[in-house]
Amino acid sequence: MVLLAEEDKTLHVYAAVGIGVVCLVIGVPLWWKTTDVYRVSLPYSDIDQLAQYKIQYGVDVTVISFDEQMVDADLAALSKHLMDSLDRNPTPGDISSRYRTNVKEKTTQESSLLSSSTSVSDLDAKLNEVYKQDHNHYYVILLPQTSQLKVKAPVIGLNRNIFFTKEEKDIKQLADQIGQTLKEVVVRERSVLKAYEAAKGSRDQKPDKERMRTVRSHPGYDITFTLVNSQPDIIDAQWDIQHAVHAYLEPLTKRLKKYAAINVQSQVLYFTQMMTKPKTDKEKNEHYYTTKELPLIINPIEANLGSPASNNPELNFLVYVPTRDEHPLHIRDDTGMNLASNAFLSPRWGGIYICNIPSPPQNASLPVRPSIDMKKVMEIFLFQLRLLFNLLYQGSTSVDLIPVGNTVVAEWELDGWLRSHCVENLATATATLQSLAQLLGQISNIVINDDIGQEVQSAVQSIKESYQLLKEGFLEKAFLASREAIISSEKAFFDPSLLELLYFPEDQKFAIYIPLFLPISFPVFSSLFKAFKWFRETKGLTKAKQE
Amino acid sequence: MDASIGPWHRTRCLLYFKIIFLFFKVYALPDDTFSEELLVKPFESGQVLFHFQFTTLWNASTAEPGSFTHYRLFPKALGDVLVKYQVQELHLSLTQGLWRYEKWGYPPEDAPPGVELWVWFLPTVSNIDKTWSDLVNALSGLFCASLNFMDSKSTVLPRWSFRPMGLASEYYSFDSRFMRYSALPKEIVCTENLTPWKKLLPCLSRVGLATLLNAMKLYDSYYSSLGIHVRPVCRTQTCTDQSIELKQTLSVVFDPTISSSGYQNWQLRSLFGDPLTSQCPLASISKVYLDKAHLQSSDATVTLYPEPDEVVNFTRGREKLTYAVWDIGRQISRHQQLNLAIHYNRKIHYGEINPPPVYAQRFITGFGLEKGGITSIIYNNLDTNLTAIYMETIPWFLRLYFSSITITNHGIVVKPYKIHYVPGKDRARNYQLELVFRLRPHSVTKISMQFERAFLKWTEYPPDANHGFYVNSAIISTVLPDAYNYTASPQTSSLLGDSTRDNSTEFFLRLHTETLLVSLPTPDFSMPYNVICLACTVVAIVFGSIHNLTTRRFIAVDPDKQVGIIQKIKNKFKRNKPEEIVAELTASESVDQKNESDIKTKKKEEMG
Repeated sequence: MVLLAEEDKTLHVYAAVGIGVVCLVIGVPLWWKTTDVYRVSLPYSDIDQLAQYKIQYGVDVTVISFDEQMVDADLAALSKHLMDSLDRNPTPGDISSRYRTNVKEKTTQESSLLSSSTSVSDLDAKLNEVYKQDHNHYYVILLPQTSQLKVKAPVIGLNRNIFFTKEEKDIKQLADQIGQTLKEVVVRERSVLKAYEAAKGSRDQKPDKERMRTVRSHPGYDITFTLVNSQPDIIDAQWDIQHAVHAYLEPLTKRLKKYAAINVQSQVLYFTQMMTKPKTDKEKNEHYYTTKELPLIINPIEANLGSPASNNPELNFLVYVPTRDEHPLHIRDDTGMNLASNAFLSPRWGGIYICNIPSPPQNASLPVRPSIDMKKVMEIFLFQLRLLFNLLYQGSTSVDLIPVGNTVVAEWELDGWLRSHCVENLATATATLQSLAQLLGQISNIVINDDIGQEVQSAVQSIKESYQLLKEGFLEKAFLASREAIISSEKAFFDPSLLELLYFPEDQKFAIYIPLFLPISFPVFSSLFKAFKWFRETKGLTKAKQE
Repeated sequence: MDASIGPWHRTRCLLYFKIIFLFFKVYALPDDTFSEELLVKPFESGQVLFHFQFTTLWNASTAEPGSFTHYRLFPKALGDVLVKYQVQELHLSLTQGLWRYEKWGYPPEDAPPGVELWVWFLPTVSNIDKTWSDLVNALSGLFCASLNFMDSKSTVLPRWSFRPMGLASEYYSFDSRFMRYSALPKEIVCTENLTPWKKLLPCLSRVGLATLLNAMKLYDSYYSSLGIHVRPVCRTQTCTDQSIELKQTLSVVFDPTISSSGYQNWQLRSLFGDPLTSQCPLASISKVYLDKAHLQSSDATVTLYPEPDEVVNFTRGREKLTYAVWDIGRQISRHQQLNLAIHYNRKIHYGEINPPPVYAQRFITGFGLEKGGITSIIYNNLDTNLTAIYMETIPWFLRLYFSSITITNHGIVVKPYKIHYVPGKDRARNYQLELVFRLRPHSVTKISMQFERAFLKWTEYPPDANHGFYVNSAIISTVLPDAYNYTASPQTSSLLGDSTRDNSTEFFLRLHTETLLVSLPTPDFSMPYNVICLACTVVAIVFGSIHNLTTRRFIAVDPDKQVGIIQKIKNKFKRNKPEEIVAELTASESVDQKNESDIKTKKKEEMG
């Protein structure tokens, strides 16, 4: 009878252990698996690694000396000093430049080019033709003092040529001057660093005009020109915007077409007025806004501008025709002087130009329909656009720039634009991927689709590719790759499927399961506990028996 | 699911579609023109309709995206959307209140309560469903309305009811693949929709007729409807080029008899808050028309202030009409303002009102929450036969029985010429029904159908589910031979004023019936958790008992030695008395090891 009871007990203990094992080994994983959400594995380690990368961009420089007085030894010294100068004062931070220099003497073909050129810009165009100058490769031309083309200060052509004349300075001074001009003006290292920092969103940034003004990099931009006729019953100003856009803006949009889609539109607004009343100067019989009041002007007008149907950043350029009461309207700077341009720029938004049109005489039949001088308007707006796109160099280094004129953008400026945008894209894409990875890591019940996985993969791939290309100096390809990266990463980040299951928090999930889990797990665990106790006892008993 | 019908039937029911493709009048246009018009129509029932229409014509075409670059009078915000989503024609209406056809006749722009949107896309659009969903999202942002709910579940492709209103090739206009229709009967329309609508006007609401559009007054009315209608029209008579026409309409119905103590007197200042003091300088036409149809029929003396600039007598169809016309520019230069007013010398007499030739009623039938039905009654008061198209879109959760659709006319079953029926799919598609049939003269035609109410999943119920679910208006399209009570502008022209020069003999009519409110079986929403708890408890009990059966021993207890509950509790306290034997059927968790070992020792003792 005792034996039977013991056997019975053993059986029950094994049954309890069996049930426990089934529950734990099959039940729990099965439950886990069936309630799990679909998540594609993302290259988390790659993304982490991307953040550690240091961006390095390569720049090619060729120095061609037309100066007969420079002998081979001089050229060697120049090469050495130039290298020193370019590698000196590296920009701090995660981003660095790498220059490859080559100093050589002119060839006979080149000297014939020089002698046949009538001006520096002529030589600039000819050199461009001969060398088929590509992105990111700059030519420093040392003009002889004897030449009629000799320059006082360094001159930067429309293409990628920088002209110097060696005066009585020694070689080292010349090398320093070349190095400084390259770093400050042509390559604009500081600008590149600013673009990178802005995109990275580092906290400890000092407010900086250039960084705050420049429009963020985007695959496309919408530019809208708006004519604001505040009193069309008196002055209904007309503009030939179609022609103006064609003549002044198209060279730029065509040149940038490959890198950014720029969509230009225009509209006319009527009966839209500035909400803040301008101050009146009774002596001069004119009205004015001070620079402090300008920020208050934009908002009421912006409400009527309408929103575009695309996701591109929008740049607005407004021509404001003042009402009869406000006429003439000026903008005054801090010293109380009227601004010559009568226009102002709003960072990352666009510009406003106040166009004073004389009031019609008393007996005129209203409304009068004067037309606006589009050349002046477009000159102002193109200047503002170059500032917003950060194409314009504004620095302390003294150089002469050949005016861009109708082409709107010089080749070396375009290179600079590509360089800072490439760096900015890389930083933004990396930051986007990082925050996506962080988000997905933190919230474990977000579904990650195959599409998102693919986009993330391709973004990572493009970023790596772009890093490599940038380092090797293939600027254009690097930019295009970085644009791919930013498009893919944004697509992954803003994928609507990420939001689908977000509103089912973890704690509620357990509230649902507890009514099942609690009553089942309690007996299972207690019987398991008992079973182990029994095992231990029997073990002790057998040991005692053996002893 | 077309019913096969004889060839003459087919010719007949397609006949009137032809009027939709009429030729357009000649306009010698500058690049773009704008006009503002107001039509006032006092009703016999005492209410007054004010219908504002702002028309912009522009020499541009959505088929050539380049032409939508430099905007002047046409709103850029809307133009961008039209071009981006390649829209050929767009008709949007946002309405608060129900139009009462029996009392008020036909509105200038017909609209159902809530929001209605129908769009014809250009044939170049590759994925129309995707474009449609992007378009409704863009429009929903533009007009601050929940148009984004117009998803695939509530969108249909009507085959016959909606044809292009503007210029279109015959081949294109018979292909309903390019069009989408959707309506949101539940949408509430208010100031937030009016403000963006006003922003599309070139003169905004600063000057001109739009200064009257004061939201406080407009939404304190019987009926108020906003509309945006975009269509391509011919630029010249030869029609070699297209222009785009944007009609912004606003209809509002006031009841002045309430504030004027029984008199039907009103003036602009009392209804809109302000008189008209300016004219939009950009408008080429700024006019106010007053339809005197119901002024002459009453026996009261009616005085109009100020004197109209012009009184136009004209015949439309066989109907003799009189419009009083005020030119806003002329009135303002003369009087500085236009405070249009009507004065009656006696109180209004409420009498029987002559209903319009064709009108309809629709209601829910049946009781209980399992089954139900929809019945529509269409009245034809004309002495001629009419061919009508009846369109019904029913949400998927009202499962329509196709076999139950019957059309009867005074008890006689009417066989429809054509049927287009798309069965619904649960959670994917609405039921869509289009019927083409004949309305006999002086008769009442009844259409009835039965449905079964579906159970929804608990996440599918909207907030306040007990309020009920809305069903779209049914749409009846037909062509009238006469213009009795007809106020819409002719289809071939852009302006309201062209009604006075309309010499057409057929008048296209589209009616929207009432929307319906259906209640569905609605659960108590705390139930799912209760069910989970209950089901889990049952599972836990079953599991618990099986678990106990397999892991515990059961011992028979001597019934003689069985003790009462009180004794048991006492025993617990006297545990150290070994002579008392306590045996327990261990089914509960609370049995401890000590008790068990107690039993064991006892048993051993006994056996020993």
